[in-house]
Amino acid sequence: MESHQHISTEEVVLECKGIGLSYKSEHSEPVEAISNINLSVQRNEIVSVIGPSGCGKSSLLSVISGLQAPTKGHVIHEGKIVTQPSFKRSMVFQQPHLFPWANVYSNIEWGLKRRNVEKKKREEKVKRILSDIGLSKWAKSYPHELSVGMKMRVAVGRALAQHANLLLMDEPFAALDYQTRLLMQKFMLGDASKRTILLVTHSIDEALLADRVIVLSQRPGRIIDEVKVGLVKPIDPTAKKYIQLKTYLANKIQEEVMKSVNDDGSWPSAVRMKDVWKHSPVD
Amino acid sequence: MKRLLLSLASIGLLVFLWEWLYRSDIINLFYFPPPSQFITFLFEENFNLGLGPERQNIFVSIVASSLRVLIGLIFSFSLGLLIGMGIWSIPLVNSMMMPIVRLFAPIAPIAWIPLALAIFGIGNVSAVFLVFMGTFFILVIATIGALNSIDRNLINVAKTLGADSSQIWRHVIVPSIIPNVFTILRINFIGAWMAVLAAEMVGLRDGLGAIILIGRESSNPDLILVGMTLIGIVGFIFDAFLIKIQKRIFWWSHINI
Ligand SMILES: Nc1ncnc2c1ncn2[C@@H]1O[C@H](COP(=O)(O)OP(=O)(O)OP(=O)(O)O)[C@@H](O)[C@H]1O
Ligand SMILES: [Mg+2]
Repeated sequence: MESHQHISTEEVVLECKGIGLSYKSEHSEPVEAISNINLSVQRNEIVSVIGPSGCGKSSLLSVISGLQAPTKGHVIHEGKIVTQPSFKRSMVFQQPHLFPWANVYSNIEWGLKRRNVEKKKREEKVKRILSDIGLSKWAKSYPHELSVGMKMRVAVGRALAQHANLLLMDEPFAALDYQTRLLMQKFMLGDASKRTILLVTHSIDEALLADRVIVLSQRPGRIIDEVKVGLVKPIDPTAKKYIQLKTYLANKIQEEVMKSVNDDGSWPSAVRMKDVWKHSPVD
Repeated sequence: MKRLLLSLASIGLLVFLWEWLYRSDIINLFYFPPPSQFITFLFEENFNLGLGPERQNIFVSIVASSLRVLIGLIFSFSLGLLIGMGIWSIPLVNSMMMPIVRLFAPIAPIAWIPLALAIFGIGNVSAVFLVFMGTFFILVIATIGALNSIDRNLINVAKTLGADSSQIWRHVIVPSIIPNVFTILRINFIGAWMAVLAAEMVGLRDGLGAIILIGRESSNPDLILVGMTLIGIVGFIFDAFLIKIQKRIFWWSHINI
C-alpha cells in the first residue's frame, strides 16, 4: 500500500485536501462515504478512479463538483476553494439525467444558452459535438426516443459543450456497447483529447487509458493505491507491462471487494468464482 | 378512424332508440323529447332561445359559459402555480399556509355560489370567481405535491451547467411541474364547468345553464333538452381541447427517463 504525494512543477488544476464526507440519515447512523482523500490533478492529465461498488466514487465526484459540501477538508480548483457548482467543472453523472422536455440539440445547448453564449457560437459548438458523439442525425429527437447508450452520449456532449477546464465523469461509457465504447474512449481519452479529466470507472481496461489510476478502498473510500500508468499510446493490450498493470489492479480490487461482502468475508454461495471461470478473469 | 366510427355508431344507436321509444306507446316521453323534436324547435326559434328580454342567441350562451370557465381556469392555473411555488419555497410559510389551503380545497365549486353572488352580485365576475375558488386550492396542493417529487438530479445537472437559481426555477422546476399540475386542472375542469352552469341557473340567467332554467319555468321540454345537449357537447369539446393541450404542449408528464 503505497501512498505517495504527487509533487510536480506542472500546473495543478485540482487539489483535494483531506476530504471526508458523511451522509446524515434520518433513520440510521450517519454513513461515512469517503475519508481523508488527498489528490491532485495536473493540467491535461487524465486520472481514473477505481474501487468496489458503493465505496464512495460518485460521492467523491459530487464533492469535487461542489454539489455536496465535504464534512472534512476542502477542494481547490484553479487555486480557489470550491464552495458551489460551476460550469468550469463539467460533470457527467452516472445516469444521463437529460431534460425530458428538450430535444438532443437543446440538451447539449442548455448550459451555453443559460450563459448567454452568442447564438452563432452555440450552433457551431453543438453541431461539432453532435458529430463527435455520433448523433448528428438525432439532433431533433427527444430523450425518451433514445437508447440508454445514446442518452449517455448526449450527457457527455452536454458536459463537453461547457468547455470546462476540468471534466468529471462517473462511469460515462458503462452503458455503451463495446464498439461505441471504443469510439468514445478514443475521442475522449485519446492522446489528442487534451483535457483534464477525473474519470470514475469499473473497467480496468478503461482505467488504464488514463495517466494515473487511483484505487479506493471499500467504504468509506480512502486512497489505498496510486499507479502511474505510463503506457505509450496506441496501447498494445498484449504487451507485458499492460498485462502486469491490469493483473495488479484487478487483484487489488478483488482483495478490497472480498472485504466488503459478507461479515465473515465469504461470498454468497451463488457467486463462487470458480464455478464460472477457471481463473478469475482480469477485467 | 375506426374508433371514431364506433363512437358515432353508438351515439347513433342511442338516438335511434330514443326516437323509437318516443314514438311508441311503451312509456310517455313527453318531458324527454328526442333530437328530431328539439332540433327542429331550435331551427324554428332561429337559434334564439328564451323569453322577452332574456331571449338570446345560443352561440352567445355557449361563448358566455365557455369564457367564464376558461378565464376562471386561466386565473386558477397561473395563480395556483405561482402561489404554490411561493408557499413551497419558504418553509415557514409552507407550514403555516398548508392547513388553510387543505381546509379550502375540499369545498366543491358549487358550494361557493351563495358567497359569490353575495360578494360580486349577479354577473360574470361571480362565475369566474366560482371557477377560480373551486380549482385554485386544489391546484396549489397539486403544485406543492409536484414540487416535492421533483427530480433533484435535474437541478444538480443544471447547477453544474452554470444555471443560477432563477434560471433553475424557470428552466428546470417550472417545466418539471407544469404537466402534472395541468393534469390536475383537467381532472377538476368538470367540477368548474358544473359550478358555472349551476350559477347560471340560480342567478346569472344567461349562458347554457340559464337555458335549462328558462325551459323549466316555461314548461318547455324542448328548451331543457337543447340546453342539456349543448352542455354535454360543449363540455366534451372543452375536455378534448384540454387533452389536446396536454398531449401537444405538456406531453412529457408521463414520460420517465
Ligand atoms: N444521498 C445519499 N444519502 C445517503 N447515503 C448515500 C447517498 N449517496 C450515497 N450514499 C452512500 O454512500 C456510499 C457511497 O455511495 P456512492 O454512490 O458514492 O458509491 P459509488 O462508489 O459511486 O458506487 P457505485 O460504483 O455502485 O456507483 C454508499 O454506501 C451509499 O449508500
Ligand atoms: Mg457511483
